[in-house]
Amino acid sequence: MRINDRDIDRRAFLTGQVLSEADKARRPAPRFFHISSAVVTVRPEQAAEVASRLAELPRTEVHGVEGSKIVIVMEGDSSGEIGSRLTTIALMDDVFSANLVFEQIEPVDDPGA
Amino acid sequence: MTLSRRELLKVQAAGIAAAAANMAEPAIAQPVSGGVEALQITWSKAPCRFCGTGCGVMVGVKSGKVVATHGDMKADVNRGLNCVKGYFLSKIMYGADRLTQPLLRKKDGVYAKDGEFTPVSWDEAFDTMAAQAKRVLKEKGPTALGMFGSGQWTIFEGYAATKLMRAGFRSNNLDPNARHCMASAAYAFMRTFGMDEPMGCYDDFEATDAFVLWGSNMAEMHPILWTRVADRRLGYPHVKVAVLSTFTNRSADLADIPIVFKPGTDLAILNYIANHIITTGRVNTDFVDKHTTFLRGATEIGYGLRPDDPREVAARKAEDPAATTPIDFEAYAAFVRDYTLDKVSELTGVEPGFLEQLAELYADPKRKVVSLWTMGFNQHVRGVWANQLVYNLHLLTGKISEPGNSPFSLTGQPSACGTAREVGTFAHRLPADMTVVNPEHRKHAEEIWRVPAGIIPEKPGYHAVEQDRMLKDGKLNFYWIQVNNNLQAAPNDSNETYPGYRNPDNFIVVSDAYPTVTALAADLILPAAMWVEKEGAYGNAERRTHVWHQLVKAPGEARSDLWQLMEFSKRFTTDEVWPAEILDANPNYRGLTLFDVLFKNGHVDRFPLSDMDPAYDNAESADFGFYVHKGLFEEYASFGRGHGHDLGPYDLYHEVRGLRWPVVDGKETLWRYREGLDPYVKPGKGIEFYGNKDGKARILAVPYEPPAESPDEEYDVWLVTGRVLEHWHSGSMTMRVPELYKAFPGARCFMNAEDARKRGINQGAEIRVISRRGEIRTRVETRGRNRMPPGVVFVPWFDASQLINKATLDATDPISKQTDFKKCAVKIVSV
Repeated sequence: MRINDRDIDRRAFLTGQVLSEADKARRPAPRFFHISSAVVTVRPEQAAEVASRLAELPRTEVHGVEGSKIVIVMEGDSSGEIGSRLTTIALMDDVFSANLVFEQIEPVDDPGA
Repeated sequence: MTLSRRELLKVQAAGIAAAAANMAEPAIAQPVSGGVEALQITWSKAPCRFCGTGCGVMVGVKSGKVVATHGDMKADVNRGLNCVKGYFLSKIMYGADRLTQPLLRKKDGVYAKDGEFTPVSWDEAFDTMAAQAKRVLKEKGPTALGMFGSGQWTIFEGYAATKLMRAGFRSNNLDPNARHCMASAAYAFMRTFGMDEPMGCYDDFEATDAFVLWGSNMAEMHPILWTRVADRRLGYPHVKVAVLSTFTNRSADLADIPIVFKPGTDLAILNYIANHIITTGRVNTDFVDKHTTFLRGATEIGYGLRPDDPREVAARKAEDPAATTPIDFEAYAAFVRDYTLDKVSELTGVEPGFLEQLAELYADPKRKVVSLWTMGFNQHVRGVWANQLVYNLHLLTGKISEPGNSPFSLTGQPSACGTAREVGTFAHRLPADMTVVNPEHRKHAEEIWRVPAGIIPEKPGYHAVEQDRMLKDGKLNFYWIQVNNNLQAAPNDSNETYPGYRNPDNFIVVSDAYPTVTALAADLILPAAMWVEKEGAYGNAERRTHVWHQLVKAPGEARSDLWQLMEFSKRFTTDEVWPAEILDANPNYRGLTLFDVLFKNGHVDRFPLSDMDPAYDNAESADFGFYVHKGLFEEYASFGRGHGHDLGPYDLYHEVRGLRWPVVDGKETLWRYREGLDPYVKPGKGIEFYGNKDGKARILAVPYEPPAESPDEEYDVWLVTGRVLEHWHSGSMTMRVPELYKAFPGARCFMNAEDARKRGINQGAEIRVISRRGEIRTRVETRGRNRMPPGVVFVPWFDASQLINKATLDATDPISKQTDFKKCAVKIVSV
């Protein structure tokens, strides 16, 4: 089928991956900077060990551990990057849940906007 | 960004998270001068677009675009937290392939069923659509017109749809996709309490001593509620968690009592627990005597397959599957006496010790217990029974309608309760739990809707699965689908769904934000506005009605489903769609459009544009010239006020993070049916299940009956379908988030490692999942988050390129007509 005069692969179409190579080339480099905090729920006796595993993840800092809760701050270039890291954490062994709390999105080239 | 600013933002983010987690703020936290306001983002509240939990989110808008969302600290449900799907809320609106103009199949410049999708104007789209609807009405009458809606419709959209279909076109062929997910729960509520929806709320979680999950993987599907469960369990060591499932999932990690049972045998476990309560002398006799009556249900009720299906012919002995006859406590006790520990352990494959521990959670009078369930119970050929059997346990012990004691049906869609159920978009329902088969209810609805007596048809319409069958059989010929992806969601879809969409006699319209498989199988695609691109209202699983403002404009020519319904209604006059005898008796309705009759009726249109908050756009109201949402809401609310379904005044909902109905004198109700907590319970009654005329709830005696199709020599494993953390339902929104797509790009078949080895299949190998209906190719997963017992495989259904519903069976619960997506037989063959 044709939409907007572009030939589209069916699987790509169904899954939303419809950008052509030309579109992708036109897509600008990351322009935003994300800072996000999350709360991770674990068994209290495993909190320290999980926290050390979290601290090893890229661009992830542990900001507090108390009881069954670990507060982390993640940095990333896109919400996709932050979200996929959050998903990774939510599915880690010994983790019951990982939920985002706050996110700040800043233009990289526009300090203090 | 300067380094110091980055550090400041990180500290601020950590501080807010610590507050959300009830932790002391990290010592380094400092207030950020200027804070969030300095960043020129406008923040407004809204409920999340995804599951039925109903989390509050704050939505940040800058330059007409949603740039940020975060959990709303003022929302009781999630207290500032946001799960991964909620995190992607803003991103789901900005997929590269958003539909922005109507697309009609055309050949040589005109509509053709075998034509190519061609961009057209709204006028051409609606003209073609109206001509098709009028053709079908003329040839076959209103029963050939149908609509398939959604638990993702806003309350206004569902309400407009039910008015347009029932009072406009005079067709009850309106059903929501909630039929696939909650119909069993809704029927069981009505049959037990005479009123739909839970008596308790999420506040039960912090007051209970035990959680029992009956077929619900909350860890992946309801992460915020699961966090509240985990907090209670981890913070209070006496609290127990039991997780029942047909395989070991992520939720089992928290379980003190993990139970994996053979598919369908949960019914036997439930009757065993009742038997245990009775034989150990722990029935709360005072409660049972005062507040319950006993019924025996019809048995051998069939599987809701086509009537000529051999399985249906063999299994269906009951004339009326929903029939019940009164019995007494002794007869009930004798009925469940067969369900002994030994027998049930044998049938279910569960260790007797675990069954006893589970039974004690209910039996122990000192322990408060919350039962939770979702699709494991509801998508069950005996789903209504399963729901009612769990109510039996709470009623026998009196553990109900008070903080911490709560049988709680969770929901999968954001407004399955608020729209599909409360507004009444099921084929047999009207607002506020009324039904089309009751003449008094029809009369009441006709009065509120200001339409002539006799307009609303009395015969229930086709339910979801029946709609697909009737499309295929050529009895339903005009079909409008909004906010759902039924070609991916429906069972046995290549045999029973797709053929109906492409039947040359039929005209299929799909309103959606994205080109789903369903949209691609349509004849006309209408581009839809989504979430905060329109003013909306959802109702979550705990009776919470939550309203939001339009925050951004929809892209291109995309319009909300509400606008589409109302605008389309202008193309029909009463003379075209109503019978002559009704117009003869009511000549003042002659020549009016359905828009005039249903929406510009002096009632819905009574609130001027000046009633709106000038800080927000409202596309529909601007177009129609009155405050559409307030008018629809206030008319809708008049159905329930004074009848136990009271909603507050509309404007109040813009100020609060939702309110749980009944809202009486501006106050919400957290627990229903108990004096002092529920204003509808009469003084001195203590407990009153006022949905039933006698004020009592029903305890139902029904047996274990086997699923519609069980594994045999050839098709030798059970297929269970479901969901994963990363993707929501059919994936039409979450698959458009590139990183989520990459995280879980294609469905896989979770399988027991030994089962795979016996078939010579290695981890990750390509396989065929084959049933008697159809097959898919996928890859085997023997590790990972779901650990399968021998003889059971699990395949998630989010992946449009691997439609597992080609293999599922269109068996439904004969009472609720909800499909069983959890139990059919397949074979696994390596490629």
